[in-house]
This record gives sequence, structure tokens and C-alpha cells, in this order.
Amino acid sequence: MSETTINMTQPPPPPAAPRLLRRSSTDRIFGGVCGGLGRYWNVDPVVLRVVFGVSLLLGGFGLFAYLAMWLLVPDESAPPTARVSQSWGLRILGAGTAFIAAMIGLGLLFSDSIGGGGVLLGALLAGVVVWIVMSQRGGGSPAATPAAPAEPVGYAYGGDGGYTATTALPAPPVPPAPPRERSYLGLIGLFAAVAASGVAILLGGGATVVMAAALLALGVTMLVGGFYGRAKWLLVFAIPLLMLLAVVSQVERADLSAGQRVWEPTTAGETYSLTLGTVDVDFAQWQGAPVAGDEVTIDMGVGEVRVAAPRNWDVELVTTLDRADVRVDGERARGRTVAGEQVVTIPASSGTADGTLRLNVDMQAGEVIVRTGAPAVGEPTPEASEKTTKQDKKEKAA
Amino acid sequence: MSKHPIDILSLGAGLLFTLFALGYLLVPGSMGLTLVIPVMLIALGVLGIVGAVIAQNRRKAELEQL
Repeated sequence: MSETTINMTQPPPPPAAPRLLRRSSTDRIFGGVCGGLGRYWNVDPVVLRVVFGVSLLLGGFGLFAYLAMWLLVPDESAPPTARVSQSWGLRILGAGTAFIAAMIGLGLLFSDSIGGGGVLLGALLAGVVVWIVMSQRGGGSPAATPAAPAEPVGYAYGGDGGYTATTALPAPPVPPAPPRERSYLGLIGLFAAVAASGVAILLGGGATVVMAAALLALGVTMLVGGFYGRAKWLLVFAIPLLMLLAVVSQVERADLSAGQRVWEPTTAGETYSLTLGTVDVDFAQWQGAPVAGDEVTIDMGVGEVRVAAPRNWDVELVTTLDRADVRVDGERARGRTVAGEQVVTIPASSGTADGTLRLNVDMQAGEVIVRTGAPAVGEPTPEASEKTTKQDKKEKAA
Repeated sequence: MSKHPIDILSLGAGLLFTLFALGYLLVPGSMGLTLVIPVMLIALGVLGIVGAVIAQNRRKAELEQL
């Protein structure tokens, strides 16, 4: 028993460096908020940038939330004791901006303004949460922890009859992660997108072409980023751009019109167009009663078509869309499908029909709401019956 | 700009947005609003999950090597 080392105590854990929320000065695109949050939560900042990008679409919620954090979170030069920005001016501005963000957030929570999109948004957020959880890189960064001084943990029996303090063997040093090479690919792609949209404007392209050109530049850059450099943060720009492009292209194709309208067709063959909004269809001004083959058409982008069906008419509702609801007196109506069109026949609520009108609703997305029992319109006139006879004759001749 | 292991999210998203952009430039009539946005969200969701799983496996392999 010459040299025996007895460990008296376990080595104490090194004191953890306080985790501070700071805006990053190295990993930043605008204010370093996402970079700082990413380091604080140990999450890839790209994920946070995508979340912020998507939340920009929520009535400006993301924009105000980002601005508030930019104003309130101190940068890396602030002393460790500082919890918020040093300047009172920034604190007040930041608190005001945070208040606006909170108001927008509450407005989103307690209104159905996002409607069916809420489910989609929920699914999206759930996906992001799963991604964040899976991309957690466990534990704090070892480089951030200052090396604890070696502490005596045991005693060695020395030959001179005394004990000398020993120290625990130092833990093998953790090799520092190689510094990531700074990639300029994303920045190049961003400016390429700006230039591409400029070229598209110069060549006389419409809004769709200009945005598609920018999107093409972003897409190709990210494609290159799959192999060289880093460019996936361009998603922050690409996702809102594609959403905007999809809407603008839709509006460009139809005539730009939006709002709440009332349409009162008077004769067969009339057509009404609306890009976005609500159309109330009222047949009160119709001349006489419709005869076989009479039809009117609504060309609609996105919205709601509300039809007041006269009590003395059969209305044959024909829609080209398969994803829109057709509701008759609050009940969802399932019509028959004929050549890709959905046909719902709404019989006259009075029991006997004085005429049948075909109502074509050509719609991208939305709802058709039919209310039956509207006041009777146009008793069959001798004119109308004459018209019918003429039409019959024509058909026979054909 | 150095070559790195294939980044599936960047590659997939790049392909997706390139195809959408070409679609809008070449056949704008075929790009419906109700098709483009769900396709984008589904594709990004799947890419994100696949990318995360691949990143996790790569990291596991790296840690085992140490």
C-alpha cells in the first residue's frame, strides 16, 4: 500500500454559464433575432425564420412580433445582467410594438377570420413543432462553459508520511466544432431574384411573370444549396412569394373585382363575374317565367354565392367545382355529377313549378347557399309560352 | 463555396419552387390557387420531416464515430 488514491467526493459539476437571450451579431439577416433565439433554444435559426416568414401572413403578427423582439432583446455587447435593451426609448417602443403584436394575436385567436385555414395553420404549426423538437441538439454549447479550475478531489498517500492533495484527471477536451464557412449563396440568390424581377418588368411581363421570375431565381438557388453552400433560409421569402403569386395570378386571370354585390338578372343568357366576395342573386326583376333551356351564369373566383330561389321555380344549380359546399336551406346538398359538373336540382317550394332555370356557378373556391321560398316571380305569360313553342319547333327541326 | 452532404430540404424546396415558377411562366392557366398552396404546404411538410430524420441519423452516426 504505497500509492493509493482515494476519491473522497465526486467532482462537482462545472458551474453552468447563464443562458442569455441576445440578438446574434454573427448569425443574422435583419436584426439577429432568429439567430439569437435559435442559440437560446438550441434550435436551427432557419426553422425560426420560416416560422416568422409564415407568420407574416397572419395579419402582420409576425412582423410586429419580430420588431418587438428586435427592440427589446439586447445585443451581444450588453452586460450579462441586462435583461432587456439598455435604452429606455427602445424599451418603450418595443413594449408598444409587443402590445400591437399581442392584439393581432388575440384577434386571430378569437375570430374566425382565418376560417378553414385554421386547420391548415394548425397542421403547419404542429409540423414546425415536431421539426423543432427533432432538431434539438441536447445540452448547452461546451464552448460557452468556462473551464472550471481544477479542484482537489482526493488525497494521495506520499512516501514522506503525509498526504498530498491531488486533482482529478481533467476530462478529455471536447474538440470544438469546426467553424462553419460563411456562405454567400443565399444572398446571391436573393439579389438574383431582385434582378430577375427587374428583367421581367423590362420585358413587359405582368405581375405574375415578375413574381414567377423572382421565384425561379430563389428556387434555382435553393436547388444549388442542396449541394453547395447554404440557401434554405430563402424559404422565408419563397413561401410568402408563392402564396402571393398564386393569389395575384388568380386575380389577373379574372377581371379584378371584389366586394359584396347584388345581381338581379332579368333575362336568360346573362352572365355575372366577381373575383372575390359575395354575390346575392335575386330573381325579383326577371321578366316572365323561365322556359326550358334558360340559363344564367356566375363566373366567380373565391367567395360566396347566395341564391334566393323563387317559390314557383325549379332551379337547376350547376357548379364546376368539387370542393365547394352547396347548401340548400342550411342543409348540405349532394347533387349528381354529370360530366364533371355537380348538378343540384332545387324543386319549387310551392309544389308546382311555373318554370325551370339553370344557374351555372363557375367558381374556384367557396360556397353556394340557396334559400328556397322566395316570393313567386313571373307567372307564365303568353309571350313565354310562344317562346317555348318556337323553341320546341326549332329543336324538332334540328 | 464548399460541397457538403446533400441538404434534402434545400434541394427539395429548390426543386418545388423552380417547378412552380416554371409552371407560372409557361402554363399559367394550369396553376390554380387551390392546388398550388396545398401542394406547397404538403411538400414542405414532408421535406421538413424527411430532412429532420436524415439530420438526426447523420448526427447519430457522427456521435458513434467519436
